[in-house]
Amino acid sequence: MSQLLRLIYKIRNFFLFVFLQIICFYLIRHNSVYWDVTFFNSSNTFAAKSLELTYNLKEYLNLRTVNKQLAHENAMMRQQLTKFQQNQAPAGIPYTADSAFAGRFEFKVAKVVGNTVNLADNYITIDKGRKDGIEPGMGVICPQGIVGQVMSCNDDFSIVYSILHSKTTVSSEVINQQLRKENNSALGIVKWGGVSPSILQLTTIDRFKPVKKGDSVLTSEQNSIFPSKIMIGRIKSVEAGSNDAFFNIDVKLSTDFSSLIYVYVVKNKLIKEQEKVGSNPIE
Amino acid sequence: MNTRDLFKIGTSFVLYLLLQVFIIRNLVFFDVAFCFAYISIILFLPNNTPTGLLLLFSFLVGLFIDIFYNTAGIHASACLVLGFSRGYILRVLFPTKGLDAELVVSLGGMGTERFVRYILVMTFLHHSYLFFIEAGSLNFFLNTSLKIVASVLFTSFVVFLLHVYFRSLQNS
Repeated sequence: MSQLLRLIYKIRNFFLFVFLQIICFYLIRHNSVYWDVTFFNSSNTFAAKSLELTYNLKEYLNLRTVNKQLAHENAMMRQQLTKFQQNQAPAGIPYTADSAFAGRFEFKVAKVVGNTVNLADNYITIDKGRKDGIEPGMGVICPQGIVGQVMSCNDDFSIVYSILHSKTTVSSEVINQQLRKENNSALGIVKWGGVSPSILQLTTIDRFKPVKKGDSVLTSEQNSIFPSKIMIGRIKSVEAGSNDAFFNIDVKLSTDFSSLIYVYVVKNKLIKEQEKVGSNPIE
Repeated sequence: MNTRDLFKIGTSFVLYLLLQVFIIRNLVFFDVAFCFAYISIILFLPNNTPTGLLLLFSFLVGLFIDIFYNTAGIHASACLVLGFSRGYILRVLFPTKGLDAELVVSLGGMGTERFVRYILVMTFLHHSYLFFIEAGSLNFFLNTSLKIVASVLFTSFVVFLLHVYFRSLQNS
């Protein structure tokens, strides 16, 4: 008997091992039983709290990808929205755009990799080029408003004339209640005067149009580069010399160029046809 | 076993568990290479730890990991196997003829070659047990084997590096 006990004592560790293994396998088998689900997994408050901590960190690290996804989604939605808007004529006018015209704008997401705002002529570098179907002359916008126009591309990158460039001009339109009521429109050309990176000049709006401080300035319908109704800015001041035919209007730019990250390059699929019909009216 | 040893064991326990749960858990390469560097806690326990204590301790470590991995019991079971076979493997790999207690389980005490061999064998044992239990059957034998090989390499590498790093921290 004592020999047996001695033997058992000798292999006591083995018994301990087997006993603990049995507990383990009980846990593995009964993983769905309520009490160990709440204690032996991460819904346990302490475990959940600490895992949440790592997840938050991870979320922060993933912001880059999430941003990219959102930008792509926005581009898609913008495309649909423009198509929808193009299809809608003002009330009372029997006009419907055909689908080729309404869907002529295509949006591509690009990331800004270089940007200046303080020079006399400012340029933006974006990370998409010919490979992604970008060509000189396309418009560039961002969620806040207008950005500029593509100047040149190589295979992977493009240079964009920022709107803060002496050569960029955008056909634009002032919108306010009174103009809409009178069924009138105030078309003009927006240009950068070169002074402050947030102020643009709006010219060729004649002085009998009822425009005033605070009105929105959007891209006009007569624009082959940008879709209509893209925000440019708000009127900051309206001045007119006594002999001038036009107002001198200062527009506060809505785009914050210093915080530009993702932009949309706008491709007008019908631009060739549109230009051809304009330049050779006899043909 | 003296107070200093206990303090050392406690520190390594907390340190490796925190590392495993907060950082290493998120390192997975190509969905096949997992890292379970927490086995260092069991690997580098002092050689004169009583076997009973070793088993209980292994069980505890595994259970803690299970809580964070949502795998009730699997890691605890694998750790138990590791703790139980540790003594035998040390005896087979390093036959010292009864001078067991004097073998120091560390890079300095074993020499690089034997140390690496020890880590590889132990990691292989732990991972093959773990992954086959996790798979629950031999149905995905090839996939499981691939996981085991990749994870053994990854874990061994991390275990080695961490050991060297912590040792140099201790010395400085």
